[in-house]
This record gives sequence, C-alpha cells and structure tokens, in this order.
Amino acid sequence: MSPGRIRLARRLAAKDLLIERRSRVLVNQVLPFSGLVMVVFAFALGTGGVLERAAPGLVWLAVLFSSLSTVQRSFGLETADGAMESLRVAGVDPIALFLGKAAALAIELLVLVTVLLGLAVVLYGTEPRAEGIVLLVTTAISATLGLAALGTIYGGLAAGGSGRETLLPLLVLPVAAPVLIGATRGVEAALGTDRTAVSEGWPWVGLLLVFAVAIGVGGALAFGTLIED
Amino acid sequence: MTPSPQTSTRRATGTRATRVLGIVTLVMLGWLGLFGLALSPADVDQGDAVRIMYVHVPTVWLAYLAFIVTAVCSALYLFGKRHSLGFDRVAGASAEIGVVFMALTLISGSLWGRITWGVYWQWDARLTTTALLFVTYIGYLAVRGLDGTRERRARRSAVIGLLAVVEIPLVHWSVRLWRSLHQEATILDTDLDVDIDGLMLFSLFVGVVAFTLLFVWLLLHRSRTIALDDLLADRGIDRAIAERRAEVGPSGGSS
Amino acid sequence: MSAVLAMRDAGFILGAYAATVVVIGGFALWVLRAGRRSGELVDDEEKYWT
Repeated sequence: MSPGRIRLARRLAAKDLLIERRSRVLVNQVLPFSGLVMVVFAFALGTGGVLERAAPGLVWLAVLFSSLSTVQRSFGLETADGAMESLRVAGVDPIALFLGKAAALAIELLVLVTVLLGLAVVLYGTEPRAEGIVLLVTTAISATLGLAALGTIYGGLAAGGSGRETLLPLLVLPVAAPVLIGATRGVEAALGTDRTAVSEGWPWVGLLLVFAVAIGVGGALAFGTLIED
Repeated sequence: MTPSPQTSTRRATGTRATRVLGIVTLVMLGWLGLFGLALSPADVDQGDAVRIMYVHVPTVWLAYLAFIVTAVCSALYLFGKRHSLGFDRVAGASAEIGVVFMALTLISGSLWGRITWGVYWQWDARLTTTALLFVTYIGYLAVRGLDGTRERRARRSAVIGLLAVVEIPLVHWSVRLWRSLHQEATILDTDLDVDIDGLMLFSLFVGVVAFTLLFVWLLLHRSRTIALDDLLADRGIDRAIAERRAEVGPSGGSS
Repeated sequence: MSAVLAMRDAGFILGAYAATVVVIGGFALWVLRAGRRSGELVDDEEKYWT
C-alpha cells in the first residue's frame, strides 16, 4: 500500500464528496427517501410493540435500499462523461480508484446510518443506552465499510446502461445478507432489544469486520477487471 | 459462404463416451430410486420421510460441486497464462447446472420439511443459506447474459464467480450464528438428525455417485453447446460485417 | 409397490422423487435438444469433441 496510492485514493474520495457537497443529491434525495421508508414501515407494521422491536432491522433495511441509489449515483457520475473510463485508460491505479470510491461511499452511508438511527429514536421509540454506545458506533462503522466495499464492486460492474443498472439490486442484496444480519443483531445488542446484552453484540461486529475485509480486499483486486468495458 | 451439403447430418454434442456415461448414470439413478423408495429401511424417528434424504442430499452435493467447479474454472481462466475461453465455458455451464440443482434442493428440502416440521419453509441456517446462494448464482448467470465480447463476459463472470464462492462461508456463518442464537423455536427442531445405518448409508452413497456421474454428463453436453453457440455468434458477427461491407460496395466509401 | 404407496405422507415423498425426475429429465432433454440444434449449424470439423 504505497503512499502514492493512498494519496490518490484520498483525492478521488475528496472529488466524490465535493461533487456531493455541490449537488447535494444525498442530502436532498436519498435522505428524504430513506426517511420516508422509515415512516412507511410504520404503516406496514402498525405502531404496536412490533415497531420498536423491529427497529434495528428496519434501520438497516432502509440503509440497504437507499445504498442502492447512492451507489448508482456514485457510478452515474463516472459514466456520464466517461470520467472513469478516462481515468482507467490513462492508467490510473484501479486499486486506488476502488479505495477512493469506496471511501466516499462509506462516508455518505455513515451519514445515512446516523440520521436513520436518530430517526428510529424519534419514530420508533428506541432508546440508546449508555453501555451500548461503543458497540453501536462500532457496529455502524463496520457494517458501513462492508456495504461501501460491496456497493463499489457491483456498482462498477452494473454501471453503464443497457440493462445493467437493474442488475445492481439482484447482485447486492444476497451478498449483503450477512451485513444485514450482523448489523441488526449488533444494534439490537447495543440497544437492548429483546433483553439482549451488550456483550452478545461483539461477535457480530467480528463478523462484520471479516466481511468488510474479505469483500474489500477482493473488490480492490477485482475492480480493475470489472470496470473494463 | 457456401452452404454445406445437406446430405451429411452433423453431429450433436454426444460422443460414444457420453453415451456410455449416460447409460451408466441412468442405471444408477434407477438403483437410487429402488434403494431409496423400497429397499432401504424407514428411519426410527422420521419413518418413511427419511427417503427424501436420498434425493435431497445428492442434489445439495451436486449444487456445491457445480459451484466449486465454477470457481475453479473462473480462477483457471483469470489467472492462467493463456486465458483459455474453454474454462469460461465450463464455468458457465457448471453454474447453470448448479442453479437447477439448487432449485431442486429447495423443492425437496421443503417437501421434507413439510413432513417433519409441518411447514414448507423454516428460517433455519441451511434453508436460508441455500435460498441466498440460489439467488446469488442467478445473479452470476445474469452477469453472463450481459452484452460484450467473449473475453469481457469471461472476465466479468470469473470475478463474480470467485466472489460468490468467497461469499458462501460468510453467508453460511452469519446465518448459522443468527439461527443458533435464537433458540425460541425449538419446538420445531430443525436438525434433521438421522441415525444412518448400513443400508441407508449405501443408498446415500448410490445417490451421490449417481448424481456425480449425472453432473459430468450434463457438464460435457452443456459446455459443448456453449462452445457451439459462441462459434455461431462469432460467425454471425463476421457475416454481418461481410454483408455490411458488401452493401457499401467496391468503391469502399460511404455515400 | 403397494408398500411404497402405503407409506405415510407418500404424496410428499413420491412428490419429491417425482419433482427430481421431472426437473432432471426436463433439464437433460433441454440440454440435449439445444446441443442438437446448435450442432446442426456447425461443421463437424469445428467441433473439438469429434
């Protein structure tokens, strides 16, 4: 991991985040959508105890579904003017490309997760407890890293039109299952849903980290091949 | 391109070897049916329901074998010096077979579950993992269906095939961990524990061998057909280019 | 034979075997037929297994 590569990745991530800051697609479109999803869950599940018990899962479901549009946006930027293609043809290190895009995606998703967890407190009545805060934050970060790596891999593959974007959900959701399972259980343990102890959440964090590393490494190595068009 | 004389009928994907293999496979499948349904004893606990195991376990075995073959061929294609497309074709054929047998696994599994648990579906580790893997490899096949050159298809699928194999343990562990921690539903004991005795083990063995032969047979035929289709597609492109050139005319320039 | 049919839950058990036969048989037939169709369009010299 040469310093040049890391520097390049950081510049690429900064580029994506700058574009987001200027266009505000995440803030103006994705966040409202995910908030809406949280509200709509209440219509579907009723406002009895189910909602509070299901809250951790619902948050991560909303994150997962919203991540699909976030990924598509992230790669839409690249294909619009052939931006990524130019970078690739110019010989830019694909690993740096992957790390940069994944990092920007991770930050955007982390913002999403934070907002939605806050919404869950407001809408579903969940109450975070002091002893679970570290677990909560760790779970959120580990899960987000995995999702970001996943989205970057398949986003790279699915970008480019001609019936490819619709492939993204089909590819991402089965592979994201471990993240969904792990993140939900981690948050449940942090919040104490169903009388789960905080200690029960840490194995899940372990799983999330293994996932993030496996997918991250695999994705970094594979990215070059996947974006070749 | 002059058409070949219609007098000679061209061969299909079979050879003498595959015919022999096919017959042996059929015979063994017949034995499987015989042993599974009649000759093997009923189980002490489950009764006759255990007979489904003799088709269910071989289908699981075949599906996993197929996906491993896909992964191995994907690796051989991707990391081999010559990037031989033959590996890509076998990988694709194997995945198709794997998906079909995974579907069969889900069907036979849910019928078995209907008898032993009373419900067609249970969120136990094995069924859930199987369902997720089934969808994952459908995704793999969808990626193979994307447009692009032969090499692009091969490269993309090879990467996806390898990632899918990496996912298998991840999905399996997470689902297992999840289901093992929530022991509320122990009324429905999802551990299909079967005390296997001699004849039952033999029947299972017959099933696994029969299905392995079936896999090889299917794989040979399917990869050969894919090779033919690739050839035809390439030829179709060549012909289209030739026709386009003919349209433009001997002057060579467009209007 | 009657013993087989008289099994408890014979419907499900035989159903599982039947589903297996139907799916495998159908798939095998499809594979062979697709192979035959494509095989007729290509000269035998170009087939690597002949």
